Amino acid sequence: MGTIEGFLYGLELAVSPELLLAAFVGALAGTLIGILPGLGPVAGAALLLPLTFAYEPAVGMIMIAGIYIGTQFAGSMTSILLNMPGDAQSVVATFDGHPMMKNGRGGAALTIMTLGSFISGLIGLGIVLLVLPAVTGVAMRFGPAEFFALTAGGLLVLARISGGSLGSGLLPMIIGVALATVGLDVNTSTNRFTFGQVDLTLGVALASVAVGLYGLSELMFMLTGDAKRPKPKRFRIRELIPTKEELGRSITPWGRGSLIGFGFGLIPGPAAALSTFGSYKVEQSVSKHRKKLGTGAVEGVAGPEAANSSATIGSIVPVLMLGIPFSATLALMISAMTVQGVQPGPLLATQRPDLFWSVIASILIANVMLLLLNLPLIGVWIKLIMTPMRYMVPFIVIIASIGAYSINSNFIDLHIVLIAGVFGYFLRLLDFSPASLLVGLVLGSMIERYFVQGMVTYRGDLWAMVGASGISITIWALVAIVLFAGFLKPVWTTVKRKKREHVS
Amino acid sequence: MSENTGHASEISTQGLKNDPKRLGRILFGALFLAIFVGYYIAGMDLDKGTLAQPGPGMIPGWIGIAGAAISLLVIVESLLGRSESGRIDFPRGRDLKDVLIFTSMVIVYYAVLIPTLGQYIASALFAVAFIRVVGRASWVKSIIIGVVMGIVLTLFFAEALGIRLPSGMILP
Repeated sequence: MGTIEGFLYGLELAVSPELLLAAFVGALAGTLIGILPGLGPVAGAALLLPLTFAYEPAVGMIMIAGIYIGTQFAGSMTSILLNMPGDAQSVVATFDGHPMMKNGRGGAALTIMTLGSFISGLIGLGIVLLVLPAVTGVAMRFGPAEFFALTAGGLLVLARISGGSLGSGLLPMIIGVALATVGLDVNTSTNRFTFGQVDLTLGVALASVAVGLYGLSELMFMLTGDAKRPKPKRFRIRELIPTKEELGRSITPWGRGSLIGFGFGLIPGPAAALSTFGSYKVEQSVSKHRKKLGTGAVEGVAGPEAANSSATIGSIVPVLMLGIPFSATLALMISAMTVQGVQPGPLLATQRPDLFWSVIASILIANVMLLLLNLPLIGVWIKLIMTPMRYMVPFIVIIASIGAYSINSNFIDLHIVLIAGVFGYFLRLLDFSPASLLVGLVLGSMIERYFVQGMVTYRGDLWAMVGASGISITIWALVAIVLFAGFLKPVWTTVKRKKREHVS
Repeated sequence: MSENTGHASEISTQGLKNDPKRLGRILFGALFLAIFVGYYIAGMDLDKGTLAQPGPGMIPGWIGIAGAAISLLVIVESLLGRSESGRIDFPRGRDLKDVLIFTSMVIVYYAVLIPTLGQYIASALFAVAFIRVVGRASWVKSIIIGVVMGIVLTLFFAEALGIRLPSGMILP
């Protein structure tokens, strides 16, 4: 099936009433939970994902796509309205979005953001369709050696670039990898680290760890910050309409942001956050109105928000084509696919074209839903933001309990949520990266699986596996550069300084 | 919350006493050093196999060693002042009380109430207790909103979305 043919087929499936409703519910639920102050996309997706497990794969997957895009988008809304970013990628929206709000142009900022997300979503989708044949060609050449390089190398890179000191990323990552070994070993059917608990045979469910790590621990932080929570200003619907000048000034940043975001989305790491900062930097350098940036310039909202949306779509490509997630939310997405009995990877498009193409098409549908939902419902979102914490917290705790229990209909998942919640609270107090733990948990089992397959294939010769193909060698070389560039920089600087001293 | 400073060497000279985050990270590193040593020992019973035919104990063995080494790295980084440092935004006073009460309530709700009373009653009880105790609302308001929230939410997920929820040991 060709790309365009496949996309049209997916679109046909996605506009069926059932899937359309799934996209609507996903986008609505994603925006709803993402807009609650403090709860970012990961916490939002973690709370809602288990609930999608009850449906057939296509419905579940489309809801997940809607939730993912909805939560990413909603995080930026609180940045503009309250100067309170839902997560790292929404920080940039505070630079100019909130000053616009103060200048009485908050409504226009929200419209620019919504339109930008929609347009960049379309551009991102267009690029996906363009690069898909090439990516599929490369992905088909992936065997255990290449997958091992990508998963193990990607995890190391992620731990290195996740911010903070080396230990801040590595320790949670190895905890996640260790947790992935709990349960039945699929290669040998041996129980590991279950300590006689039958409930642990299924392993530690990623969704329950995520609900605790992000959802529950976030609530503990929210309880201490309520008093400082600012109240958003109300504005009229006509304030949502941007001026001609604002729209005109947004067009080029939307285009630039879309391309930057898509590029960042493809590489391992916190793509959305990096892309928004990257796009803002570009606007600071090339925009005609760069001097106004930081004071409420529309370019500062248009570019980064387009990048945010485009990176979200770009990052779905490695997930669907290789089955490898490089962010916490995408790790949840993979986990949901596995629960649904779907194995993401290069064969997904040929083995399950209905599912693959309906998910791709549903990205477009979810973007349309967001456009239709977010602007007309802006008053509802503002009211939601103002919901007192005393009602919001029990609401979220109850949903979390329902979500966690529904994973396996087992109380062990509620216990995991509790442990992960308290642990996550301390993890974040001490500035360790919880995202590394989640990605470690998902990639841990993949790394082991590909390692064992590779070792059997290459008869125990590790170097033969590393050098199995050009792809594998290239991946390991890139990993080595990222890991050691930081250590080599001071040496390089010293050599250069000594040379300069010698010359002078 | 984050105070990842770029003047680590300056802070390291002030000593650990004035730097709760570094001290906390050392304790965290030590805790996980012990846990990974325990993990390694627990994994020693598993068959390691050979490189050509890895057994279920091979990867856990490596993870145990890597985990212990990384825990040591966290300790060393903090001792040398090359890690995150500064104040820990630990809640105090009323905030601390609220966090502790909230955590205890969630533990009772998840571990005791849901398995015994089922989702409907447990959720209503939790919501009432939270709104009254942490939210400091009046009894009437807490009971009305809490009961409605607990029951409506459970009803929605169980009946409208068809999600299977625990019925508890008391109700049939």
